[in-house]
Amino acid sequence: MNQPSVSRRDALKSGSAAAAAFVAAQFAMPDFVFPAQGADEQLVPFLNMPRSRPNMLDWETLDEWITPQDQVFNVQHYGTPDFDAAKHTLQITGLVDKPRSFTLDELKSQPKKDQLMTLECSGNGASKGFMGAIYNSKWTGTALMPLLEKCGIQETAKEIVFIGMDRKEETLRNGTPRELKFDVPFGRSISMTDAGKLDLMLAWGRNGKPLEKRNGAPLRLIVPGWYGIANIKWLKRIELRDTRYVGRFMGRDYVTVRGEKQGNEVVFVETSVNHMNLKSIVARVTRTKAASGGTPTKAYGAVWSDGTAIDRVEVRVDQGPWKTAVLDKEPRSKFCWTFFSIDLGQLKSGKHTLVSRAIDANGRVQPAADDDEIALKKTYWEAYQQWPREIEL
Amino acid sequence: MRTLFVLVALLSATTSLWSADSPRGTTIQGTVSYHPDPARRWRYSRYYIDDTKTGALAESVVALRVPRAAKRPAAARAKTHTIDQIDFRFTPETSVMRLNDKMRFTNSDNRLHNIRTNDGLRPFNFNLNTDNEHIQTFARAGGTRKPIRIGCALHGGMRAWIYVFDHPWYHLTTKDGKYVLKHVPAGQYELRAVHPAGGLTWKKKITVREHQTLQIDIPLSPANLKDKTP
Repeated sequence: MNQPSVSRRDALKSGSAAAAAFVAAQFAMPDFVFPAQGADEQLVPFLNMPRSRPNMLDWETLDEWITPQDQVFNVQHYGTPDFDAAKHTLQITGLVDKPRSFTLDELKSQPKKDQLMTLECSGNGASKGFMGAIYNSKWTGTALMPLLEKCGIQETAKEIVFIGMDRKEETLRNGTPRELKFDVPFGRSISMTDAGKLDLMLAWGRNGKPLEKRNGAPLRLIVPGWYGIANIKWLKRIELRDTRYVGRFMGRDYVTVRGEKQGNEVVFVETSVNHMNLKSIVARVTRTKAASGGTPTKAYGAVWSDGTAIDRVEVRVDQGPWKTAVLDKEPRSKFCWTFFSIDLGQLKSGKHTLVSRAIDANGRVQPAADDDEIALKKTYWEAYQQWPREIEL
Repeated sequence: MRTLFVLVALLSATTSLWSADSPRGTTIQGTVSYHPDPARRWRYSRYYIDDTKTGALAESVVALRVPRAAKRPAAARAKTHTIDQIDFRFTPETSVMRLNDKMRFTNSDNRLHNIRTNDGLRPFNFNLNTDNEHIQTFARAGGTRKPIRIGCALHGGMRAWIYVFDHPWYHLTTKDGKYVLKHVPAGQYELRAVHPAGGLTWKKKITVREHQTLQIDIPLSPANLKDKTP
């Protein structure tokens, strides 16, 4: 996979005459430009949005298809565990003929593979205060299923449970006579059926560098097309079971509660958060010098899914007609975001609202916040609604 | 009667001039600016630099580090400052205050927020509902070196810094990047500038004599990053 096209800024930097001009104009140049963005385009800041901060994606300065480490988020529920990475082993246990432990060196001696993937927190976009929990990476590791097959998967195995080194005391029925406290490691599971369809891998590297501890080093499960919660960090043990695993992060948290209309009745259904949803967002709006007819305005953004092919992205201004954006031809990869851009023409002075929506190859349309699919969702996970952006020209 | 009025006015003006803020002291002033390095881009400069030609840097704290034994002017009447939570952002993000001042936290968002810190002598952690407020005081003046770093446990992107001083010689820059420290007594000091959101720090030893106006501009660049990692 190619890296994103060289930005105008980089092109300017590489030419000697242009470089001189660049130095002279360095104060005036935008610091970050989208790959397709022209040097004369100025950022139009979004209104009423919080400032970005380190370790979260900064949409307005997005200019690299592969996300740099300083914009990579991390979320952990049981804190970051203490351990000796040099002594780390991965245990494969449960319903296998030959339970085994693998050292990191043993894992690294397995056939190596790379996986390009956009990883998003399922809560990303639940509020304007949590919008940058997404990044695109090239993970390096080894495929999981051949390792499990080496251990001899027994026919009765129905579920693969992934256990991290992070742990915490949990409390059930808190404050009742039947209160129960127990110490438990972080865990999530994937059914054998799902595992057969997914390209699961064990990763120790990201973007050609060793994985950082905050992102799961020394070993992380990678589940292409599934939300971040499924990509278990600090992976310690893999256990095959014949019963469903219903740990906190499968059965209590990361459970989407959504109302579904059945006739005149709304029936609430609880489902475990797993695969990512079709989603797009306007990342940046730019303008050039205003003319008599208005201000030439462009929008740039990104679209992604669980690997389902994207058909198109549409953008509209205020309540105008939807217009089709241009999807970047490259870089692209099945489980990665694709950048898009659209020339919005000349917009009048004043405030405007821009919004994008994605449509996939199956005709599925990214819903608006007031569509039933989102409006009847009572939990904040799986926040894939359209996200309007406000600007002022 | 008119003479008496003039005398009272003169006496009042004199009292003001010869207040505890060292009337014979010096004024230190200048501009804080940021000079970019294309090789080490600062992603968030857009929030703090309006005029990219001058690089005038907003939200920088400029202050003197005053020797421990030096006399501090008595504080004026305590002020109450405010940090609101609006659009999922502490506003302002950076605050400066005197030790006896109070900080009022408010929440203008239609969401529950939290305010917490592990800094200072009395760490705190409380939730704040919409349109509620909380008044906080501080027991120690950490100056530019030990700000109170504020976060929201519910929204990890929210952050703020409160700089507490036991003297009056501090200033928070606005969009023009200018600062002024008035009535500084003669002596040896360290002039410091910090930009917490940008991770920038700057310092310079200075000698202050009486009746001066010292012009000290503060040019910052990626070389002033606290974290020198490229």
